[in-house]
Amino acid sequence: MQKIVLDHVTKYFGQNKAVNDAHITIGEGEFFTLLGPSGCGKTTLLRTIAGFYKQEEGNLYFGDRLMNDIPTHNRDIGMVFQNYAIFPHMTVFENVAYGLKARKVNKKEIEQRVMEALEMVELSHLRDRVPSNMSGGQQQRIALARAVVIRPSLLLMDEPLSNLDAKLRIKMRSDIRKLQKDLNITTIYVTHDQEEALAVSDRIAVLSDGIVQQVGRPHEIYSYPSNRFVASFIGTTNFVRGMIVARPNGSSSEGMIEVLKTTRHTPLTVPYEGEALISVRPENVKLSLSRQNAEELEGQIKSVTYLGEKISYVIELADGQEIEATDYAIEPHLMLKETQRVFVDLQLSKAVIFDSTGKEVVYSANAIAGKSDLETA
Amino acid sequence: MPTPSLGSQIWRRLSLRVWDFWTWVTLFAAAFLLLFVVYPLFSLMGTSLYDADGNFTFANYYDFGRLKYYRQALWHSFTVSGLAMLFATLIGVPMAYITTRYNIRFKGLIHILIIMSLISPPFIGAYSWILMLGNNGFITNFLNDIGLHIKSIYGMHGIVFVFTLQLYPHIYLYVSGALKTIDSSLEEASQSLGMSAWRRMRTVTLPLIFPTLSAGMLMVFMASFADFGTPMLIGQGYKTLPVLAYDQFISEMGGNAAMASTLSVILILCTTTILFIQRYVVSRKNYSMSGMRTPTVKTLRPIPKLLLTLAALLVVCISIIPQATIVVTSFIKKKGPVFQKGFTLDSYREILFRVPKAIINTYTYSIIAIIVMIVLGMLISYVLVRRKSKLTAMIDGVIMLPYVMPGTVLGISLIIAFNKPPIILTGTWIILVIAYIVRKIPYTIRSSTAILTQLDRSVEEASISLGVPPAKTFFKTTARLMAPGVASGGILSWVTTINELSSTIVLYFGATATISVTIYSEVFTANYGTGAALASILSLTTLVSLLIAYFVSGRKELKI
Repeated sequence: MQKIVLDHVTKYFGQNKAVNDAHITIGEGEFFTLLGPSGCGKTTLLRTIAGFYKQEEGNLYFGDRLMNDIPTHNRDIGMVFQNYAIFPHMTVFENVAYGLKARKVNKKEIEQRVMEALEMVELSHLRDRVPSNMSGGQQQRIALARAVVIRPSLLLMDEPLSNLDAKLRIKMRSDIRKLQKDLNITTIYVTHDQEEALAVSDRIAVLSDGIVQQVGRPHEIYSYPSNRFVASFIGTTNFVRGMIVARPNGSSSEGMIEVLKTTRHTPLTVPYEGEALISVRPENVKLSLSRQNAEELEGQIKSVTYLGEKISYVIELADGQEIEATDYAIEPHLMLKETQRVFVDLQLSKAVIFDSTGKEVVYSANAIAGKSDLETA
Repeated sequence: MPTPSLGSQIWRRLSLRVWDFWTWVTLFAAAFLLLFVVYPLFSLMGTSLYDADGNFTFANYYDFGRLKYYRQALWHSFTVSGLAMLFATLIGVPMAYITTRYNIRFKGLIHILIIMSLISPPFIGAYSWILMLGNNGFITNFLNDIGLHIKSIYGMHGIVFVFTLQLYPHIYLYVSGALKTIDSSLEEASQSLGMSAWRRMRTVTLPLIFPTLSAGMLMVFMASFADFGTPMLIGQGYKTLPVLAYDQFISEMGGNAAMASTLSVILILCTTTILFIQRYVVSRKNYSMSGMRTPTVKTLRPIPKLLLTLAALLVVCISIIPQATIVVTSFIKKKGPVFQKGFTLDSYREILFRVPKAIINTYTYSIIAIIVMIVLGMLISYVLVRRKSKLTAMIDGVIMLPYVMPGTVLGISLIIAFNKPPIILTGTWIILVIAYIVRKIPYTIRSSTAILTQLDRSVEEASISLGVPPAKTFFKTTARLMAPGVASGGILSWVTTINELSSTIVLYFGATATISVTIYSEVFTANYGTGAALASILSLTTLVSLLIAYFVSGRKELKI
């Protein structure tokens, strides 16, 4: 258990920067996730931390120890691979005992620790079986036991659940989370599945094109995305076009924003004027059959999808753009019907507003809250 | 941003390179090949560029282009090798498919017989066919007696016939190895997409085994191209390039080393070109499969099962005939060189008293050579597949050179290189072992790389991440998983080493004679019985080697 420091790490593949200036500190015992679409550099970064690649620029520290020139086998890591990488020529027990033998642990202790690890992953009854014909879930459990039995100072997981079926994935991810907390091992987890990332992580780094877009706790990433990419990659969101027609001035922290010909006051954190993108989560879009306030937009229901715990609506606004709304009020008679006319409240105070490029946040409730926290303190 | 200086660029590259065990393996392999392949090759090229008076000249190459006698030999070589490769593929691929995918009977027997036919020394194989199908062969005579007149074995078609029957086992071994490691879900996926069995094989199975198949085809082509025993015996007027080179070097009218070297160099150029073409094609079709779900064997209904079993048995029976002829001959009673009715062990008694040294030499040299080949072969194939760099690409090219050189040419080049200071090896047993290693190691390397490309490297990374250094990781994981592939190539290296004739015949002297050289001289002095007895000993050795491999592997199916 120790903290991990990535100090401006850059990894090239040819001329391309697969990882571009990653600067992250991961705390002791933290469950840290690298999240992003395929090709974003998350696996490259993980493999650089493991030592399978060496970065061209920047430094890597485990605790205070500079790791740049330490080969993988001396890094004291446990790693779980996407395709499990179980040794097919060894039994379950031998697989798990492998790392302990490398550490010259005595036979009695090996026996004891392997059995403990196998019990943790509920596989102790299969100890003498050969893994070849075991299910993916079982193989992944072996891989997990094999990685944690050595009590590594750092646990690395490269998309460990992507080859499992959905139900098993959900069970395994909570098992992994529990195991990680019980053992208190600093863990770096790679996934492209945002839901998985939100479920297991203490903190998440969202990557795209080799660049770390945002680092934060799951709810921060979800509620206060720092740019358009993060907003659209994590969960579902609606981008509504708007125009900021008046910036905040000395007397007020509020500006004026025009959305579909309705103008309203809105708090802004940056003095910005011009086109803006408003990111509104579907669950924050409020629908009503009669107008509640002047800022509501008019729209028409285009489609209704029943999803069990919620209902998803697609609404066409006056200018033709479509937005999604979800509703958890599930009385069937309250469900809206297609072609019904509705009034839409975007609840701008819960939204995030970006500049026209989607790269800068001009409003986010987080920043306001943070500011007020500071002011009160 | 300022452009970094050249010096700092080089320094950056060196510091980024991970210096570990594999770096040293790469460097050692490069040094070994430089000394025992490249240096002799340059000596050979040097010799081809000087005339009798020691003047630099291209006259030998000019003569080659000018004289039809020489050019024709090149054309002959390409014809017989190409045809042999084609027919060997047409026999080898179906044989491999039938034996790995269907539950036909006698698989173990078929497998052993195929290997047995492979080890029949080229020289003796050709000789057996002459005994049967020559102008005075017993089958020819029998057919004549019942009124059928067939063409004798002599000539181009005979060479192709003998090569095909002798070399299709290469294809069979390579392809059956690959077929066993294909992930069955890929074929099932194709099936699920509505592909018929035949189109499935054409669109999924064959493309997936193609890298391995092409390696096998290459091996057949090179073996035919380099062989001189068979064309020398049954080619008669139809001379191939190696035969011509051999003639030029060991001519009774005083050898022409320069012309022999010239022919050798041209031969090497041709084969190297083909080698690179094959490598280029394969490099663009590199598939990685974990092979965890190995294919299932299809259960056939009785009639198709019987028919396929009979077809497979027919093929192996025809190809085993030379071996059978030799074993029978070794037991036939004779008076002087004349065979008589009845059976006896006299031939074996005679060789034990007359040439025991040859038997000891063969096994001693071969065992030393095979140990080096297996260890070196696995390590080298690893750096070729997993540590790709300019240097390993060069090693990969160079390592194939000895195997595209006819044994006689390799022998000549080693003699030219090591009969003068700084290193003198001619007349020692070491030069024989070196010749065996550089000439036969490609079998081990080819099969090792073939299986290595199908192994997932994350297994190794898992081991390293668990704290086992790269070199130890290799021996604990990858080396074991490679074992089936290495063994199939290693067996080929082993059996071809104990049968090695063409380089030995150039490099040996009295005290270092081996069994194969002794067979050669026995047959030429018309001692067919003792020659056959020695050849039978080699066959028996192969059989025993296979059985050991079978029992050690502990598998139901013979896996080599």
